[in-house]
Amino acid sequence: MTEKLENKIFEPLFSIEGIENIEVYEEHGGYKALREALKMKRDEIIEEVKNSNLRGRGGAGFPAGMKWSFMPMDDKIEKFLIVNADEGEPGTFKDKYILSRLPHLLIEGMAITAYAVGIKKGYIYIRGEYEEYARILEKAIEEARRKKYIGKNILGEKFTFNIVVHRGAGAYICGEETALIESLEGKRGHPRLKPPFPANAGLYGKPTLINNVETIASIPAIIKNKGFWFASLGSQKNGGTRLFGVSGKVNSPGIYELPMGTNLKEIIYNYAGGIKKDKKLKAVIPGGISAPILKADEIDIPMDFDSLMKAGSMLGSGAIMVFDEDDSMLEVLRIMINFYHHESCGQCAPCRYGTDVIKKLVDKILNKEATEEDIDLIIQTAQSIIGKTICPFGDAVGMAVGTLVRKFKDEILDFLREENAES
Amino acid sequence: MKFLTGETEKTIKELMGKYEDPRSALLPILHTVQRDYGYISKEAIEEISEILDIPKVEIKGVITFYSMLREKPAGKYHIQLCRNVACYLNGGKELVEFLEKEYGLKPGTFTDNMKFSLSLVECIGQCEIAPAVQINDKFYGNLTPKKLKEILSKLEG
Repeated sequence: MTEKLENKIFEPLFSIEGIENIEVYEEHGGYKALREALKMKRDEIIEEVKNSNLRGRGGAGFPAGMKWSFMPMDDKIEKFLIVNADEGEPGTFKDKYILSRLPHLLIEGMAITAYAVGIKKGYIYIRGEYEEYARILEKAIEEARRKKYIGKNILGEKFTFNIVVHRGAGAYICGEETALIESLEGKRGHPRLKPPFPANAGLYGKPTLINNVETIASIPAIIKNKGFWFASLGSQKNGGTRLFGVSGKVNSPGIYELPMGTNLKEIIYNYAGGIKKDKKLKAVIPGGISAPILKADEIDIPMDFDSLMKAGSMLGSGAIMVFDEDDSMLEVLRIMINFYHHESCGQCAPCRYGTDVIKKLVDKILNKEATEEDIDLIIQTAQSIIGKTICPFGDAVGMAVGTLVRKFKDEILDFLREENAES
Repeated sequence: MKFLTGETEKTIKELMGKYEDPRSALLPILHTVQRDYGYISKEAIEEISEILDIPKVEIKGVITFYSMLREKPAGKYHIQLCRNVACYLNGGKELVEFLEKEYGLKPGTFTDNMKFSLSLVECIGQCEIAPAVQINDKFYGNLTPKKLKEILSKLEG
């Protein structure tokens, strides 16, 4: 962070060479926010986070300050902080940039969070495939320990906080916070029934705060520039900027840090360079594969949690996937249901059985053995999973699959009517 | 006879000390064993079961739940090819066809010289450089069949 107020948090830092090393990070104002935070009262920090309108960047968009305030403040109770770095929502690649380029921003954010909530031990649960980035984190943690930013008596204060990096092993469901806790306890990643919420009974049954990488990495900027500054960067009730990850049929795929509420159309055409080869836009998935798909005429929309929810989709992880006129929505459906079928943890019957039924119906379509009734049956089955499972995975299947089939039913029907064109 | 020895045994001890409950070290231990031995054998499962004092069946349940863990050897270079939307619609499908045609490599199999093995996986977080693969711990993106061939030739030495 530089001294002047930037209107972005991550991009100015991304452009600094060697920023993953602690010396370079310090030269650019790194760990100053932690020094400031240690002089503040703990509830003042939480107040700043509340004022910032920072909402969970993992996908759910829950207000971070409120989540923090659910934690018991009694320091005699053992508490844990977990950073969710299990980035696995298809289409999502934003946290990778923070983990690999700004490990110290994350560590600084964790230390401030731990101080504010009274936590002595933090875990970074990172997806198993990100082995390379886990090593970068380990190195950064060691650097921070040597400089007394973490460890015992941080910066000479009576505050102790340690961090352990824990690698997952390839299971999408472990991005769900209670499945993540189970996984961190050495078990299969089966989501837990809530309540109790992790703030009451999380890791080893102790109060646990879980936040996404981007959420925690936003904390140092909030402390330095204050909560209202952060809130002012975004739209109403959606504070800050967002790392939007754009992929698919655009000229310049990549991450773009933009204010919350930036128009989706603008992101695709002004920032990501428009559609490749000047093809026609067909559809957009606005927040990772679980976010219900938008048709080309539905993308004139502000990218914040509330606007997308109103449009029947969700902002999710901010992962924007762009499809052009050549992309087959039936192929998207096939990939989508194979994904959900493979990743369902199997705990709840509606999800386990529902994904299986839909997969079989999609195979029937692909074999051209299906009728229009089968297509409707997919929509009905998808709908029947929603609200009937322990975790939001079931809702995601129901909404993402149901919406895709509803909006592109004609395309599927056309495919069925083709006279075995390919054989 | 002890199976997990030397550096592996030392690492396991260290890992157990990192957590409030040693059982939390199960995934890191399995990663370590797989790294050192290529896969997680029956003998390894038996010994981990004793070390952590948890039933073998639970360890087996964990191994089969997580896609990165395996009970059979993989190639020296294990290729994980993304089959999700961003990669598959942007050239990933062609990579799968290429690997089968050029190397006889089908998902879930090895090349004859045991150099390469292939599995199709869900999103690996490299969508902006689709199509992408992960070979051991390294990511490669913006691939074409030609580029992939160059990478594999270099690894083959």
